[in-house]
Amino acid sequence: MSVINPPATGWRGKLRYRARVLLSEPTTLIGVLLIGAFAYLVIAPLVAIVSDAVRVQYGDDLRAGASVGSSTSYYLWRVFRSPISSDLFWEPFWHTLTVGIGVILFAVALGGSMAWLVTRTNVPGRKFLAGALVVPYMLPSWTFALAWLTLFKNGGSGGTPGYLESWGVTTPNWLAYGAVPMIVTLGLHYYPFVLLLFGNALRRMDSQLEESARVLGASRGQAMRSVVLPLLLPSLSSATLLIFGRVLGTFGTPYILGLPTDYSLLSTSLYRSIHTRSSGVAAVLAAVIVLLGVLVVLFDMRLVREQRRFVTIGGKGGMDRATDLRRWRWPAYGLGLGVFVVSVVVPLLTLLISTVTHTPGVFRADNFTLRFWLAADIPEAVGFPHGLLRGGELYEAMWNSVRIVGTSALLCGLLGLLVGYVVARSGSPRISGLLRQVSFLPYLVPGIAFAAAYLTLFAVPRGPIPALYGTVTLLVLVMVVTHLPYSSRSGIAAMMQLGKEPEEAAQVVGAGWFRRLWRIVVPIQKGSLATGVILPFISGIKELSIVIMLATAGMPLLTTLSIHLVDYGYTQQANAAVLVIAVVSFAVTYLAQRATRSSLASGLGG
Amino acid sequence: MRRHSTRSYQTAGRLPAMLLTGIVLAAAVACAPSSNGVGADSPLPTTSVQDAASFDLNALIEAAKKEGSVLAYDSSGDIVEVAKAFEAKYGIKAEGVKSKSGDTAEKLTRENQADNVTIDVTLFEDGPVLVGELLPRNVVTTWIPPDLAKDIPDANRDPLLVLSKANVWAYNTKLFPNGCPVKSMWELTEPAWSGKVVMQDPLGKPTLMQWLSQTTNHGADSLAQDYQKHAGSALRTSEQNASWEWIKRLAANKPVLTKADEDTTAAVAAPQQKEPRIGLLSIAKFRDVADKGYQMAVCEGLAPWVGFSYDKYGAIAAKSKHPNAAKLFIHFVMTQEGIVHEMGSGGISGNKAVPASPNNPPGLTNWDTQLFAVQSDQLLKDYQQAQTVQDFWRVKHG
Repeated sequence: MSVINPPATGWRGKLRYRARVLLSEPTTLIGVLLIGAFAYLVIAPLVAIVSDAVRVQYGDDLRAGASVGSSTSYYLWRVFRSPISSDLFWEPFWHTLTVGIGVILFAVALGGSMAWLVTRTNVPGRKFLAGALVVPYMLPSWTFALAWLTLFKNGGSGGTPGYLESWGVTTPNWLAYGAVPMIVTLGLHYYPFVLLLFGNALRRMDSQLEESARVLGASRGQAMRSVVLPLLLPSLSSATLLIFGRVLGTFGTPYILGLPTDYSLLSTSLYRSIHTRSSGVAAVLAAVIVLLGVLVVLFDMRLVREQRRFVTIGGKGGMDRATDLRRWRWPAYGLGLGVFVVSVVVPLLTLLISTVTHTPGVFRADNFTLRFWLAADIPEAVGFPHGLLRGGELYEAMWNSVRIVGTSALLCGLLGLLVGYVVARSGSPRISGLLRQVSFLPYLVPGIAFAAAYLTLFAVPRGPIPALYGTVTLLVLVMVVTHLPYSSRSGIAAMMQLGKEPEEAAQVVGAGWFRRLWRIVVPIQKGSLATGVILPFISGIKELSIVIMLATAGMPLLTTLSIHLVDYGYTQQANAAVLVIAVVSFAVTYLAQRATRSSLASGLGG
Repeated sequence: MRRHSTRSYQTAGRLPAMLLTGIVLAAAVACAPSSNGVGADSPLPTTSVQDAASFDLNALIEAAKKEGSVLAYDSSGDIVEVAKAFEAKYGIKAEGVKSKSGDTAEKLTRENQADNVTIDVTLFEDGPVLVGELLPRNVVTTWIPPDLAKDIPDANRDPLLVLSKANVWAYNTKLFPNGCPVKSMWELTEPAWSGKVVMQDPLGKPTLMQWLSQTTNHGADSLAQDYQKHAGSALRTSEQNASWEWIKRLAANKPVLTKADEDTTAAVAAPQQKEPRIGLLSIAKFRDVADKGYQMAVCEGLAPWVGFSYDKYGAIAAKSKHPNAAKLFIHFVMTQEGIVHEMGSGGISGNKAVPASPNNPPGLTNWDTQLFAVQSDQLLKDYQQAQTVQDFWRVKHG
């Protein structure tokens, strides 16, 4: 603190001194403010949910044997002990664990190996692979489920038969529905998480560390075990957590793939409870999901506590040396390309083909058509009587989506960096620990429960906050809060690796806090800042469960448009809309990367 | 590489937890309860009809025009057409939105609590929730157009019945050229049809739950008689009556459950479909017969019923900002030129002066004798036993 003058005498001087200290190192102040704001925005809705779980809900007064609004354990009994409990809770609970762990293993194996391939080896086409392998995350997650069904569906569910079945191959139930397809489709959707977070950490890791270990006599495996893996553990656990949190909260895929064999997860059970208007049971289930999430966070904290604070970006030089794959270069490229084909080309192509056929699955010349994209008039589609690209609906929805999601993603990215800064720099472990937990909590609340809670809380004026129902502000607010975990995770991971040295150097020459943040932290972290903006953007642009509750009829978004088309049963136009979402998401990501000259993927490629 | 001190982390785990608890408690105090304190057993506000003589439709139209717009929610996509026709006739901006009745109910309730109402009027299929929740909580109100009241029978007034629709058992006419392969609903519960009965998941479709619920109340005798005829001996059951037994057997017979009628229809009748199946679906899906080359017909001759009829009610948001436009919209759908857009594939208006739709699907000839009728006066009972029926289905199906 050499730039600060010695304390002046008198209380006035002391106050001025304290204020100056606070301003030059304001992490504590910012930390407290952030915790206060997030606590209100995150915990208040959670409390609303939990309080619903222990109070008699409307219409249940006779069953619960108490008047509406009084406290009750009826819902707890119903969820955990009643004859229906195995259906409501226990089976979904075990299924959720199975699928969650399966998806994590699948995604870590796939994402981890791909991350290593594109960051630490001399595989041909590194740049291309680094970009291409992130694309699956830009598709709405139910794209995979829909494509899976289109291919593998058997007689066990309704709808038109799957391609395989119409070619005479009968797929067994375990392949068509339930745990296996859920693990594969969700794994294909979420492995880019691992790729990004893992890849960032791998790329930043100085390969001198590994080499020093080798020089000192460690074998390749030893160096991997005791140097590389511990360094990667924070990002690995981040990725694992993000995935598990997502699996806890996702219902689109489990709903599509689980219903035919009655394979339900906690999220589908919750969704069903909301739809059968059992709000008390829904509240208990939502609370359990949140609780599970909190347990995972605590577990993560314990894990990371042991391994925390390895600085991999210092003020010293670093080296990044690639492993030479020799004759395995091209097979490795083929492997990467194969993953891309399976996770992107196949599902998209399946959907694309369905948008240009009258009857999906029939490949005859007279069955192909462009009318679902271009026709001026489609008489049988009463609610949307023209091709998707005609009329103004698509463009209005597109503009709304980009505007609203863009604003929230930017806010999210900046907040995420701030959170990371406070967590890494705060002298108080209390503040950093609490901020870490609070900023991650939204991830574990299923979107639909969150949206419902926000409606309850902010639809009416509360203190200084006016009624927000039906406003853009409410959508932006909810999107920022729900996507905060992405950007704060990325911010924390990045800031943990940034040593204090560069900042201290600036401080010595007299740079104030804002100047340091703006001229040193942001430029160094611009890669992770871009990730912190782009991840929420991609996630937001295909977000459905939240916007379906909050978006009003006057403010259509791309996802609400597409789900309305699904509801109408206009499969072709709906699939076309999903493709448009994928294109918008991809285009904006690409442009943003060009503009910031650092990229989500290049977090990987270099 | 440097490793920072880990000394202070020993206590870090407990302190955040304590702080977190503190914040939770503080927030708990700060949050208002999200449910209000009215019980479901409180009496339903009775509907009275304004005197027809003093009612002036033109005054209503003028008042509605001043309000400028109306937003209508319905579980059928046809509402878009109805809104267009309304706008064309009165020059009042109207928008129709298709939304599942559960979502509509949730949204109506929230908007009401927030005093920020966007949905002005709804055509609502979930009668039990309407009568058990939305009306007694004053989220919506019933209004009966006085000038049309003479043609709206008492049974259709409380709440206002806009349109009766139907779900029917359908089969694939190409696979079964000689007519419906089953003659009794009990056959659907037998091994021969295991895994071949297709229907929407009743837990996701309130009208199906309502049908099951009402069957247990006033359909048991017909089902018992039909069993006697079909099996040649009286039904022995440990359940309360034949209807519960039928539901139990159907649920246990591995029915294929879908998310939407679209999927049910495709499973039964898509052009490339080769599996023999029977599906329960809305008569609205018969428009796919022409549009998509589907091949299906109503299971004519199925005893005791080929399907069931259910009702769609009209309700106005109690705090609507366009109450007159909403009333005018209700008036519009109670006339032929309004409701005709929802009767493209059959249906009967709640207004006796509106002729029945000529578009009933093939095989459905007599609405009254062929269909099990879901009755409006049982809605409250349905609401009260909804969970019982849901649980029964879940346990027997799982």
